[in-house]
Amino acid sequence: MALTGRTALLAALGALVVGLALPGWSGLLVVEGALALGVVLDLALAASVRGLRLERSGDTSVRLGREATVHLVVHNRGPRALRGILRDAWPPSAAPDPVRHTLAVPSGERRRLTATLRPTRRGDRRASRVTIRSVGPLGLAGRQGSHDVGWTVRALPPFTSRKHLPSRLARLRELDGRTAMLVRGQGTEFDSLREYVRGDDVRSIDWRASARASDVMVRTWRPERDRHLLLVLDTGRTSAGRVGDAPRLDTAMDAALLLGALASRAGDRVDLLAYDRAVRASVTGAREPLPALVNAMAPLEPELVETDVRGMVSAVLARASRRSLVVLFTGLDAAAVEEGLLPGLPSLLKRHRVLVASVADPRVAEMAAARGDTVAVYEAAAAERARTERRTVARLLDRRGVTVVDAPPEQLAPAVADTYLALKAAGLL
Amino acid sequence: MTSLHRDTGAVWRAGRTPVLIGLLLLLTGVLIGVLSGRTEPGFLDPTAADDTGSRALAALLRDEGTRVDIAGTAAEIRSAGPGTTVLVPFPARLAPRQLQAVRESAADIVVVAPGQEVVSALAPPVEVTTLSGPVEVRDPACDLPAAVRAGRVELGGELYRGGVGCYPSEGGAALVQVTGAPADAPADAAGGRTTTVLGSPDILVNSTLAEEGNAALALALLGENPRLLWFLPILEGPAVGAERSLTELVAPGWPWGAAQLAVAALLLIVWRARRLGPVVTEPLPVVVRSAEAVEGRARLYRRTGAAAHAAEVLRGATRARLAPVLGLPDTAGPDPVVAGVAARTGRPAAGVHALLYGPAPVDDAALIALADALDACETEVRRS
Repeated sequence: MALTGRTALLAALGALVVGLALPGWSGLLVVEGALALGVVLDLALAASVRGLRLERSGDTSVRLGREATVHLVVHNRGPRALRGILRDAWPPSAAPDPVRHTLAVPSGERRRLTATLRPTRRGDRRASRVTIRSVGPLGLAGRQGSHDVGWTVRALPPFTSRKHLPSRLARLRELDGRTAMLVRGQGTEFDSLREYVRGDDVRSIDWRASARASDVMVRTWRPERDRHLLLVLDTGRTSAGRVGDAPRLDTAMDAALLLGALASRAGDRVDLLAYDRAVRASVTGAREPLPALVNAMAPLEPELVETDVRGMVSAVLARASRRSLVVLFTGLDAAAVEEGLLPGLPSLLKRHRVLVASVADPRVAEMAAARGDTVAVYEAAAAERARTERRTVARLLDRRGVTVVDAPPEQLAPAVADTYLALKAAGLL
Repeated sequence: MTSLHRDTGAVWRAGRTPVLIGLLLLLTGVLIGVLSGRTEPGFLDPTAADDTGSRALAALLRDEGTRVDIAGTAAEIRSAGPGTTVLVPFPARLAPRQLQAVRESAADIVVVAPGQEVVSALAPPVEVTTLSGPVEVRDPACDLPAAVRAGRVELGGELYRGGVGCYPSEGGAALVQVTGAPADAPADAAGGRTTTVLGSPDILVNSTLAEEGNAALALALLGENPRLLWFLPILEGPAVGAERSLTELVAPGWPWGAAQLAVAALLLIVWRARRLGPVVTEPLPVVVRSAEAVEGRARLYRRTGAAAHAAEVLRGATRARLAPVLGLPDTAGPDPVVAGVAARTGRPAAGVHALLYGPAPVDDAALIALADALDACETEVRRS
């Protein structure tokens, strides 16, 4: 049950009746009695909320920053017309518009209400309950009730580094022998023989084949294909740190998506593992890697626990049976690397190639360059100390044969993609 | 342009319409005030010398030995006893309390063009018969001594019936006189007072005072007693002791009305308090600024005054950056670094050694100077 503003207004007007016409208990009784009668009548004559049937339809996923449209159909199966308001409640970060709808559904009919969601955070947004206030014919009071009409809209990572994809794909085609310029590398595979055209590298002339044929033949090469990539996202404590506008995890995801998109175009298989103390997300052997990656990443949130690096290494080993490029998106924390990663590295490196990608903080570089007063100089000292530690860790990993990419947020995705292309060109996968 | 500050032009554009409307209203008000004030600056005012004033009459009365005073409040009227004439030129402007004072006064009363309400209060038997009769020269046609002495005068305006009527026309008399106070007036209003009602003010104003017998009639009516109170009422507040409390002024049922209002307020609360479903909560991700640990360490250095440690860190960082520039390994000792820097910059080797490997600074000022010196040295090496 719920009252309306009209009841309060009538009661206020009733003050005139009581004050001027019928001062005394009798007046109060008359006014209150009339109001109570109206309220009871309204409650009796309002359409039942419980008997309504509600259904949802519309978008189930949306890229962060775009709009999703979700419909709600209200079917009034009762004998009385439904009049009132409906609140379609969503979590605040789903940012629904509008939240409240005015309802007027005649008996036996259905109405479709549409709301647009513009999620402000990545992840799953589950619709909360739908509350309906069905007001009686006098507009004095109404019945109120809720329905749970389940619906989930998944806000996918925005993949802002998409803009770097075309240039990296062009580089990939350069590697691929499809362009006139042939790139010969140690690890490229022999593809085919064709006639020499001007501009070809003379070193690639196959003299034996030229002797057999009447023309000069050159060998063409293509980069390795069907390699395995395992993208490993560290969702532990360090990934929660905010660098610039986004947590480290989001930047890592962006870079992982660019790398995944690039690698799948290059004909490599891409798998994903998200780990802190347990497996948070996993993609294995997907035919369409990019949608699978995006979907798996969407609900990931940083966990405030120290990552179990040994567990992560064993999870990687369990997943990657063939020789793979393992890309670890993690922090370059001296303690975590020395205690967790270094002991596990030998077993990892024995079978796989390892690339560690880490988000550097531009704020630290800014602090390191600060001069002028006491505060600035001490900040510079602290920042230099942090950078030295990072450099030491990076050198330590490098010496073991791990490729390290340490870049500020906006440069991490292209840097990781470039490193991948360099490894591929060199046939190191 | 993300600033929300509005420049003066925008403020003016937004505000000019209301300002102009306000100015127009003010101007209109001033004009109306000035023009209307100019129409009758001193109508029936005993000090005004223009056409519609009455200074001539007041002067004549004074010459005849009558004291002419201007009264403004009810209290002054009440204090006037017998032997005084009260002239009420603007009966319509009287406040109820002032009218009451006139009515209860023991003095003779001359009232100019009163409406029915005032007439009933001051001279009950008289009635208004015509609201605007012709103002013309009339014959007395009665045996009122003042009228008989004055002869023909210009009168008219409102016409009355009842009492002793003079200067009559078809609609009624332009001057009536009643002797005695109203029946319900207090006893101290002596029975001998006369109340004279004039239909128009023409016999009193400067411009027409000299016509016919106007002046004679006016002098006879107003100069009868040794004192004349010219009543030009001013706005008065309620007299002391006559205030009534708020509860006496509102309707008697107000406590019950208030009780009903309380019920309405309760219903209002019930209406607003009922939510349309519960608040939706949402677990928010933790947000930690990544550089916070570094900033914390900087504050720690500063609080403990770790100038020596900070200097060593800065020197180490500079050496690490200079080594590749000089073509040396990271692990190079002091001597090759100092020699390299000295060779590249032309600085004395001792100075370079003091800068890169010298003693720790003694205080913060020295540390700041050291940091700047390290920067300068590094720039020099890179430029050479």
